[in-house]
Amino acid sequence: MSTVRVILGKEWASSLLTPRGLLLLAIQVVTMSVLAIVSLSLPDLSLMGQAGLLKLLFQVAVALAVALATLAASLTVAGERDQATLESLLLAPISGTRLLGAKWLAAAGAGAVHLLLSLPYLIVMGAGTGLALWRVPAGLGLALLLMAGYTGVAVAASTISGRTFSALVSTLVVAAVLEAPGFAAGALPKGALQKWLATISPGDQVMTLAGNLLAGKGLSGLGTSWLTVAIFLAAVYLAVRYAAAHLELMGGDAQ
Amino acid sequence: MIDVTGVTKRYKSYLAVSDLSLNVPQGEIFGFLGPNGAGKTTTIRMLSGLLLPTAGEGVVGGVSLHDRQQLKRVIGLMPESQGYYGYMTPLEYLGFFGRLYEVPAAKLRTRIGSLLETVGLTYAARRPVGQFSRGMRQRLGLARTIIHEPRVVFLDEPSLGLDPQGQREMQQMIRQINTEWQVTVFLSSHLLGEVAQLCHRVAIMRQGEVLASGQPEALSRELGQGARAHIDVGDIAKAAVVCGEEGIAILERDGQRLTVALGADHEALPRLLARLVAAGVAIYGAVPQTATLEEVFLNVMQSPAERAVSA
Repeated sequence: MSTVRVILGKEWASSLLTPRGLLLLAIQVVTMSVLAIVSLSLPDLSLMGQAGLLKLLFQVAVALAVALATLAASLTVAGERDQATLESLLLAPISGTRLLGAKWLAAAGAGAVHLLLSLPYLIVMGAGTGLALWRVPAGLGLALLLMAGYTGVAVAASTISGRTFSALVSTLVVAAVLEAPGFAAGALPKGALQKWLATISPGDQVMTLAGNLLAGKGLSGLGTSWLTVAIFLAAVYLAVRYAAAHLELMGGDAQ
Repeated sequence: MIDVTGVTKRYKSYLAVSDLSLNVPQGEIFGFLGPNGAGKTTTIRMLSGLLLPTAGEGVVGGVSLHDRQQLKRVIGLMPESQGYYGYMTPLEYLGFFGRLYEVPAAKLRTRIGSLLETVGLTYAARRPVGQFSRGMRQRLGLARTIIHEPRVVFLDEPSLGLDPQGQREMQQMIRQINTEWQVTVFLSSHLLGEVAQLCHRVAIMRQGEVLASGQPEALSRELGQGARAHIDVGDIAKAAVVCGEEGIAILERDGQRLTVALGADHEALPRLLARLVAAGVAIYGAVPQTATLEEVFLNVMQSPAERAVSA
């Protein structure tokens, strides 16, 4: 377990304390600040009501945090390979599974920091809605499931695809394939097809769960959403395991 | 310390290493030579646990080649192209790898200090590695390679890209870790002078197969196209006649100096000198020449047909 902690520490330092990590955190903060100011000052948006604005800002905060953390995660192994640091890591007595597990955990953790940075804005926005404020961090907690899923996809793609650019492209392709049905469902009239399309998108389902929390409702009766998220996370876990086996088999060699 | 038999690595239809057998005793510096694509790096990656052999058995540092996790604890590898975390200082870099190898904290502190001293980087211990020259990075890489006190270290082109002074310093450090830290060294290098100076024994590889191995001097004798000698004489015409009578080929005439081919006959030079003295030829000097490792290497690299043509 200690080797995992060592990798975790190094990954956290490079995710959060390097110029690249700080830049990504700054993008989150600046975007949230701009959106918060715009939402509170534009009369057209205020027509949505405070609860509507909270939901919109929440969705943007989660999407942005997941996108930035996924971007960083897709560099995690491919970047080490590009910089020729991967071989030294693989020489250490740590299994591929533990190495990738630690990198995944670190990427999801860095993503959690992005979400945490959005929390004050969302609390301010939720303060006028009469909503119990614990629902905001709880909603972000649910968003962590999506964060864990997509950072896992990025870590696996980063390992299997070899180079940074192909890692980025393959992560984007996976995200597009998974989320496109959800977007398509939003454009369709209500019906069986629309419901089915929305069901298979993990992002849509996590937003449904979090949206229910923010609307003051419970999480019961959302079995399909939980199932979609569970299947998504299980598939990502298997993909990371496969990538770890691939990494050990290739001994760090690029494809 | 390294004892492997029949080690083979095949990638689909490409045979990278074929039926390799090696025995390197403890404390030796072993040179591993071959042109690009010969299979040296693949061999090193198999012997260090990075790659699993397709076939073959053996132990490195007392650990089976197939027990890759355990193997990584007893070996150190400095890859040919090694990257560094530019934002870390040497203290952080070595600390990171030391913890990864589970070196106890108290021991790690003293180990890092003495390693930085060995590789001459104590003065830069708190500077980011990103500001280091190539030579400094190579030295840090060597320190990283032995941070966990491995029994065997594999150095893949450690002097690549270094200036002559850097190469000399690297050679001194390799000798130092071999003698002071009692580490067996497996050295792959294209710098044949470096290998000849450092290594107790060498192996020469081509297209995945070891073509020759042994002590550099023995290889020079056996595979260096025979020994030669420079002889400075008073009467070069008379000396040439004597050489002809003795059946010794003259390779070159330069002023009063004859360069003659002696072949594999160790007695040829004293016999020739005795005949020259008997013939009344004054001898001012006689210097036997053995083939350099470079000549041996180039000779071994030729195919048998090419060798026949050269002969």
